[in-house]
Amino acid sequence: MRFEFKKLFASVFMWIIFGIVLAYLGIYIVIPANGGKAYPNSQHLNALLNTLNESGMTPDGQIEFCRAKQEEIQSAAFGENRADKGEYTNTVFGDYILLDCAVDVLEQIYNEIPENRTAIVKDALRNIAEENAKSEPDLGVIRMNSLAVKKYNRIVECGVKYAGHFSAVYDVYDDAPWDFVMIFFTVILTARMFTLDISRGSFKMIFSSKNGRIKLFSKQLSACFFVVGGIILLHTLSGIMVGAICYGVNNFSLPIQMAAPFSACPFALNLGGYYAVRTLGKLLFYFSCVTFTALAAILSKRALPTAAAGVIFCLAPAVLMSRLYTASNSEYSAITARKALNVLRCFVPQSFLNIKTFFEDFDYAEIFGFPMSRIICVFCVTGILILAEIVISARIFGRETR
Amino acid sequence: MKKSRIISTVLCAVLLCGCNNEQNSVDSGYVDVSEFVSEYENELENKDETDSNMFPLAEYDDKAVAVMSLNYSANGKYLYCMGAPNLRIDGDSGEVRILCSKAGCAHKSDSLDCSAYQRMPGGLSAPEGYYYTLGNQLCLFDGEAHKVLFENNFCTDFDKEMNEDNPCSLGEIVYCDGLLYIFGLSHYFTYDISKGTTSEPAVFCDRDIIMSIDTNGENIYYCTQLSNELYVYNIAAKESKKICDNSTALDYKNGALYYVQYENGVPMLYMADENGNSPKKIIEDCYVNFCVTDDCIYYQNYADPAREAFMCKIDGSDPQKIEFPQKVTTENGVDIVSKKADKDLLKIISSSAADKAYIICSGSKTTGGVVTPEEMIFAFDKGSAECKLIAETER
Repeated sequence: MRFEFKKLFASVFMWIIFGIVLAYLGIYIVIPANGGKAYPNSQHLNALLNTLNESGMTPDGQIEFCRAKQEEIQSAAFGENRADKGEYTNTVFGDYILLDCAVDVLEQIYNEIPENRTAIVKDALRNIAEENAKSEPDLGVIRMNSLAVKKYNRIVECGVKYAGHFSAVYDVYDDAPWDFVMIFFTVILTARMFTLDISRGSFKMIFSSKNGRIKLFSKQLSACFFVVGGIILLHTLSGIMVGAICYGVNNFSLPIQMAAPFSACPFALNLGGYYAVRTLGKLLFYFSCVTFTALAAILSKRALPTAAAGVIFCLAPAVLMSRLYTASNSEYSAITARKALNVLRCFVPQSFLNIKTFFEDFDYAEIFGFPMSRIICVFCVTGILILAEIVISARIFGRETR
Repeated sequence: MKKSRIISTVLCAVLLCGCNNEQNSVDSGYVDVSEFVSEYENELENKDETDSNMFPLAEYDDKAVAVMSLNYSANGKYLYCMGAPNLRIDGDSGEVRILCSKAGCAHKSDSLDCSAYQRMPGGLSAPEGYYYTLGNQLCLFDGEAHKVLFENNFCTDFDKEMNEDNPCSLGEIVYCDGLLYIFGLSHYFTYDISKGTTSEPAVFCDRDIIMSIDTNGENIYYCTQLSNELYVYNIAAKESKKICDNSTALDYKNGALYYVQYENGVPMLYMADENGNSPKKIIEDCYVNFCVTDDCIYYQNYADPAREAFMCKIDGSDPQKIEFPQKVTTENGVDIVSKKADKDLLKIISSSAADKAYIICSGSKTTGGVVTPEEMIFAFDKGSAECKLIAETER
């Protein structure tokens, strides 16, 4: 496989695009490093929450304590003595912000999460009861609501801890421009890999035995997977590190529901699990770009049509979905945009580029009369697509040609 | 190759081990399912089967278009309040229900599919559901799904001048005799509900923005926003006739045209015939939020600083002041007081199809010294000045 890597990066153009991808990644480390200072220190916050938890106070008592403390230091926090040493942080103003965040966290853990889930379960039970009372109940409605009861009537063991400023992490790391650049890089990389031999006239390799051709195909494909997968893992790791250092997202065993954007997530998942699923989704998406471009390269045997086909297949649906997301919030075409988006999100691998939407609420669709999570659906479709493309490409590549 | 397969499998297993965070047993949960279901089923036995439908209505809301009542529709025993979230309030019991039946929905403002946060401006309630306009589309929400019934592609030069981004956009809807009258900035067309067909668009006012509209099927009555003029447009003749100046609100009811006209800064309520002839002043100091029912008129003073609300007979006689009760409850030994804000401008809503009239106003809830703003909804039996506080919502 070393030879395949050497072949890929023998071109200056490849190094330039690779450099752009890494430069973009660097920007997403610098931006949070500057912006992260605005958020409270998670160590201080967790220390305060720990103290409150061990104090034996009731949940309401803990919230009242924080509010009372805030009121006590309010005038000092906004006055001339704001930079004086605080009880919990380095400044009185810092203490005020910290207490404010502590109230938000405690409200979320003790009140919002249980109340929201209780409300969802009760709504679903009401829907079931009302549907059953009808002369012709819709079984699909009953099935969907029963699933909602099952998913949301599970106690979420929160723990009195701060999950970090999670929304800031994915605002930075799920940003479209990086993905568009990465798609472009993936397509160019794969097109180069599979058309270089033909364009350079390496006929001896290509016309070798079938086993030789299959081995060549698998090595080239693996090389592409390796490079793309390596960049995605680097992207994920940098996101995890930046999240931990700048935004306090460092406790991956906490339930996903403790991250504010995912408070209504129905899955029994923790933050580490979310990162894992997100990484897997992105890997699958980029692998699907590789396999499609490889198939296009094997069929066309020319770099330019391959690159064009790859860019259209990989980028166009992403652009379309991005526009549909915007339209779904606009006044003029929200309804049709939402319907189209809900269908696309079940089947199109580009859905993985905005994976957080699968975790924000009860995102299930009725497929052949049965409720199925949209994320499971898109995982299955992408997996099948990748396998099919690999099999078809291998068969065509392995076929003897003159 | 074999080693890399083993390593990648182990890596996937390690990563995915963090996925399952399930800790609770089958029996525990936030809600005791069997207890809740049996309680609710008992409640359901006392309810009409149709109550589970979001729109169990027999008639159409025939309200006039007025700025103060755009996002409300009273029909049957319900009041529909459209506006983040969209709610249905039972006028008898005060039960507040979110207008979203999506399974498992958390009803958040950024949810993709939540009907509770779907903008449904300028609409009216009907047996089929809720008709509203969105951009250049006429839409229907039937309680479960939203459907686009019609897309408008007609516009005039005035529309283009007023709204460069979307000149074909549609605004308010008025119902009359089986037809929906859908108004753009300068034109209108009708939608036949039974046939599902639309008429050709007709231009009726291409010089000013409309702020209040009603129709009786033969005429369209409208007030303009910039020049504050009141016109009657004859549909057959396609001609407008000016009725008066300084008018900002109107309502057509039972063969009579009611409209507010300002005199020296004081709004007066006039009543005229269906062609705008023979106007007669019936109420002095009547704000634009007046509401005419079959039996009476509900209105509020504007010039008088106290801004009191009144109910009077259909000819303006025998005004009775409306007293808004405050609600005091005690929870865990703490008094909770809900009170209407003084001098607040009210929204007064009713229609021929509604069982009651409603007044919506801002108020406050005081719990142990902590004051929270809220919206209060009072219900009146038609023809009565006595009201009951039926619901309080956070807006």
